[in-house]
Amino acid sequence: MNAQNERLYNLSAFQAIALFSSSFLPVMFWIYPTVAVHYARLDAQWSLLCTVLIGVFISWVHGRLNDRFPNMTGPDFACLVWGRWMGKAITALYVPVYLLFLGVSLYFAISLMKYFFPLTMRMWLALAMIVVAWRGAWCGVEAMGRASAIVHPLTFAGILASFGAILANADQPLIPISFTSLSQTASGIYHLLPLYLGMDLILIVNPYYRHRRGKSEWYPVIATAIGGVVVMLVFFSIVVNLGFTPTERLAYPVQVVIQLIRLRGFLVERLGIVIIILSVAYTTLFLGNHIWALSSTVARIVGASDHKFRPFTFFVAPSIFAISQIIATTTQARDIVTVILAPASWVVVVVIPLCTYLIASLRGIRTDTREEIQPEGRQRRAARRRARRSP
Amino acid sequence: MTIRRTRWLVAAQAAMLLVLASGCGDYQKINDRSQIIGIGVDPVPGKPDLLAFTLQVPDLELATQQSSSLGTGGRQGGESVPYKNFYVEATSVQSAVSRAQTMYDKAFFLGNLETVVFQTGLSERDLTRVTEQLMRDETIDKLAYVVATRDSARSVLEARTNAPPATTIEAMWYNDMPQRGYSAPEKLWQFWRDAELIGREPHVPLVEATDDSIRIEGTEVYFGYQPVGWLTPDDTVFYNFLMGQVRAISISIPDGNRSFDVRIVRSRAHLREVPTPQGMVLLDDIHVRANLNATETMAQRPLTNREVERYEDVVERYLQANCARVLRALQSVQADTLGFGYRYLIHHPERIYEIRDHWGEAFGRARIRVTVKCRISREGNLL
Amino acid sequence: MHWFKSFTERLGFTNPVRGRYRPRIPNQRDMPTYTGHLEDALKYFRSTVGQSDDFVVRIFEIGKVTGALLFYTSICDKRAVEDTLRAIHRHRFPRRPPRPLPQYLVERVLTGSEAMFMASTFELKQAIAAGKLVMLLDGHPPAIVISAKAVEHRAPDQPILETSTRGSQVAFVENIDINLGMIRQYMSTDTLVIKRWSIGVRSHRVVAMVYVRDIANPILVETVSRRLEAIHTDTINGSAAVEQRIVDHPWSLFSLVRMTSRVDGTCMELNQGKVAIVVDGDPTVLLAPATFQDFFQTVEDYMHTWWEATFMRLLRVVAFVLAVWLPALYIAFVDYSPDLLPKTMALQIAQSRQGVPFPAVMEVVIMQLVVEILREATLRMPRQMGQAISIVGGLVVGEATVQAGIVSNVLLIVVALSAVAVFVTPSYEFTVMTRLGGWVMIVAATLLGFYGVVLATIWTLFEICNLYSFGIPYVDPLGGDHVKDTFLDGLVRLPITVLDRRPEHLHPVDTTGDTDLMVPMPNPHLEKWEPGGNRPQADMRRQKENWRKRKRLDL
Repeated sequence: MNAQNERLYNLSAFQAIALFSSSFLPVMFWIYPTVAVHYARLDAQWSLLCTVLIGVFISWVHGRLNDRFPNMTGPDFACLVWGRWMGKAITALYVPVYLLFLGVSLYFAISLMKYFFPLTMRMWLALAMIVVAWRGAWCGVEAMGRASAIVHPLTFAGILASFGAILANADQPLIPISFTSLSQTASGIYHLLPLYLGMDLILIVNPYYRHRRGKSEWYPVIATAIGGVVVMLVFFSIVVNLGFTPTERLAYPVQVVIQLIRLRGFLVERLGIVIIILSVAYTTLFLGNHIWALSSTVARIVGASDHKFRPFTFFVAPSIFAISQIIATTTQARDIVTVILAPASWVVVVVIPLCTYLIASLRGIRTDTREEIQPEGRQRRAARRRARRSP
Repeated sequence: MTIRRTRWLVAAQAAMLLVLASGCGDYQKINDRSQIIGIGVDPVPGKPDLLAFTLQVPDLELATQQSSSLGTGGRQGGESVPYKNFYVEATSVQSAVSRAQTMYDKAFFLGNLETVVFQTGLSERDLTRVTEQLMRDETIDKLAYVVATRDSARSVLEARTNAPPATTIEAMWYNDMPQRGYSAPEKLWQFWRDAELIGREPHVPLVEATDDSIRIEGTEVYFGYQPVGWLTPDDTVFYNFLMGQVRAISISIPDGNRSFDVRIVRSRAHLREVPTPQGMVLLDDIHVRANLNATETMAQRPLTNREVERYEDVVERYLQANCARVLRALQSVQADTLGFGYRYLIHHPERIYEIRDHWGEAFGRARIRVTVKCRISREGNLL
Repeated sequence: MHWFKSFTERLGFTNPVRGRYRPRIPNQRDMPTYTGHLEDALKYFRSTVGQSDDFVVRIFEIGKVTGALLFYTSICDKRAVEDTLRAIHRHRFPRRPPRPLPQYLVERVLTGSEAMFMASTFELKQAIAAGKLVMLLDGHPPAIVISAKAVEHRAPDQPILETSTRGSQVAFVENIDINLGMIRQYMSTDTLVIKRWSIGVRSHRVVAMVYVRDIANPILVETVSRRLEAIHTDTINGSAAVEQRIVDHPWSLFSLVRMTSRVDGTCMELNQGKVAIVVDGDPTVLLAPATFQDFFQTVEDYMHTWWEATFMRLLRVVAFVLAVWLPALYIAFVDYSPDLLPKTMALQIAQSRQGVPFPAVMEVVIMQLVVEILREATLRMPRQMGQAISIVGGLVVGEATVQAGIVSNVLLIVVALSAVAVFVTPSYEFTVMTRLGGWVMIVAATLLGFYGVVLATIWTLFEICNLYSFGIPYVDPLGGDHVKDTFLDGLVRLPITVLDRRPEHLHPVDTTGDTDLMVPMPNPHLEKWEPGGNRPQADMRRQKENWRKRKRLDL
């Protein structure tokens, strides 16, 4: 405990993985099958698979970066690696991208809610969600980690069960296996990467979870792998039910397909609608995580401690709300995703972390030689091996 | 400012926000709503731009007047409730609903739509338009059943059934009826999907209103949104065999002068398409499991194993001949409702444009090979 | 930044207590000490504690030394006074009074079990007020104080709220000594530590902290003890007054301390590593820390098989969900999204609400208010009238409102089910949270339907995740730390054979408690026993060895 009665408690592995898992997906989750089929045609599943693999790989790079600089947030080690001003400039680049990304995510979530609340103003729906998310961010990362650890497994299990049921009930489960066109696949991969936009939250959570050599670098990988499983499962359940060309025509294919669940005899028959509204829980958590993360980032850019992120939420949360209100139509939001967020996600999610890691490796910059890292992972395994060999 | 005053200010602001921010725009008493359970679409003679819509709603006020006791008196609510129809001519579904709203004091909502009835005389353009409107509306229940009728959709929705006609039609397939054979149900989303899909065409059950019920009259087959023909109920059985969707249905198998009855427990179909230099070959392997209902000898002597095997052969030949006939009928109108084209597309995705533009003709010219394997697994009580 | 920090700290929804480490130090500087002048001392005591009519001064002589016994006759045990006087009168004192006389009396004459020496008149006045017997000897300081408190108390009885079908049925009483004695009886270990404080400048209520020294986390013990020491108030009425002054988040809706009146439950929790706070005059014992999961567990869970225990725990969760969310979901489904309900049910509800003038919100609010009124009335009404009021309540809430068309009959089921489900959770303090939480959900459903309910749930989740109870996150172990505890002994109660470790989320010092769950003589095979025959071979390994031995002989 410190003088302010603050607990400097770290997140456990489970909490960290849950936090990472709930930091990406919502911006494209409702529209990605349409985007995939539009750009990659019948190679959509390949481009999706490649995107997932890229996401998993880049999350491993994020994990390695974190383990290389334990107890430092992303802006801090960016300054260490790139130099002070260059590091701040690179970190500052994340702010508008993430604000736009969060605004678009909020827009999509509210658009879906408008299906069920057509007469309620979009503004109030968004305001309610952003206020709750703001409250979550205000509580801090430990509370968000606990909330994620409770909500995310339930959400994950619900998606697996519901989309698994949809997939199993398809009358003609047909997925193309052959590969048609490299250019189409590449185009699909390029436009699908915003699925993993938001992953950089891993870098700002860095000082808050326990780093163990050989173990903690895999936490982001587990999170993205889980996300990848969800993404592939949902995609397959959509295309085996709807086919490829009809999928391309739908604005929100996930929303249409999820309404195909009807539990006859159950208390709530149209379970699909319930699931969509329950997804609000996931989106609120996601927004809360990112409001906290972005506020902490802005705090570090201006030189304040990341523990003193609360004043900066007054900038981040209203900005996200404002952006979500400025977007006029779904087509505009999709254009933002495909024209602005797609290239931006390649830069902030792939290029910058990869370059940072390469430069840090080449220059030999690391801060994991201090006592923060607990060398229990690999060394414990070596000890066990020795014990077996002894007579 | 003291702490107490600050807290009161915040509380007052929050309360104001609550009042202003109420989602009361969507708050509506359930009794002020009326769910549209059935939509019927007929063409308007002489007015190609207009369509005649029949909107069916359950009439709860009449139901309450009829039974003044508490609750529903043991009946299943909604299944035996009187109904009310609204007849409107309009250019679109939503404008029809808006016009009909002027005739009723409860707000219509489409979240519980049960049935959509299309008249077979609707043009391709009209059908495309209406389907697009139904699919575009976010609140419409996409699991509503689509049926077609050669009479008018209005007459179907005016049938004198116990439950509202729309509910009756939906209940034929929704209530987990084990029997499937004489009808090939199609939901709204499936109809739209099949019409939009490359290599597959939609089909829709045909219904007709009789004196006190609604009867299945077969299956209407479409090419896109254009109706191109229909199958009788008996042919629909063979069509369902081709799709592998027959279950719990008893049919009579003719064998020369005599006949015997089997009860088809279930059937499976395995579709394949093999492109050859001479053209496409479409294969359909049907596997049928059946129980024996009646024998040719009317149980005057015990059944032998060889006789059962002979029955299986007869069933196979009978089904094979009739399924091939139905498939050739579909070929004659180039309506690939079975989805051979889509399967071909999945296996050869590089030929997407060729399939999109020319599959109808390829399907029409293809050679077909239908094989049936039947297994009679139970003979019942009598040997 | 400072302005912002103070602004946010003042307006925080769950602002934690401001820490304070100054223990209570009573002002003793102006009080005289007893120096041996009996007359002056008696004059002083008569002017202070003697203003009360039950104050008695009993003069006696030991040789040439005059002594006085001072006590309150209403609280001091007369037998103790008489025993003291008898002991003094019967004792053969030497001619010269021995020096020091007080020590001589305590060591050789007086028979009281607790005897202390005090000189400060502040402490002597406190001792008299606490029911002790004070002996002053002229010319021989200090004074002797003998414990002699005698207050009527009831015998330990069955617990009122936490009944069970099996296990001990003994509950705590108001007397702290009896309560501590019962705890010691159930936990007969030398490592059980009891620390006592006298809290309240006027009430001087004894509050004891009980813990097992080699299980409870020392930081937890220190936190509780320092918070108890730091209570500055004049009276403490019971455990509730103590609880509200020591919890981390006094503004929070959620109870951060578990309460129990069962002795076996308290001992079980002490064994898990918790600290019990016993307050004199209150049969309710506080258990700290408490997590969200604790409110769904009872000691009775461990008296049944794991099947039943797990089923009961899951049932409690379901009941909690029904109690909090069912009325809100009724509003959300009926008046916002009727297409979510089964079609026939939606029509049925609509039919049953034909003629009801109120929207679903008003229906729910009216019925919830009626149920709350009935609940409160049931608590306070005389027993003789209970049955009559129950009939009225049933009639009012039941048939009459439906017949009058005020509410629909489906709503009755909803409200009745949620009202009853509130009390399935075993802890009474949690039922308050459930009831208030239900109202919050009703407001959220009114504003934004199911969407509002989900948002309100997430807000509540954030609040709960932000709470701490004496250093432990309130949502532990559900919150991702020590997830194993949830499935071993949380939502699911696995058989005893796998519960060989203490729950980790309490961070006990001793994690296993020397627990060995191997059962000796696993296969006694009683059916193979014959009178006068050999003992049936129970050990499979030995039996196989025997077979192998026989086989070798055969070869």
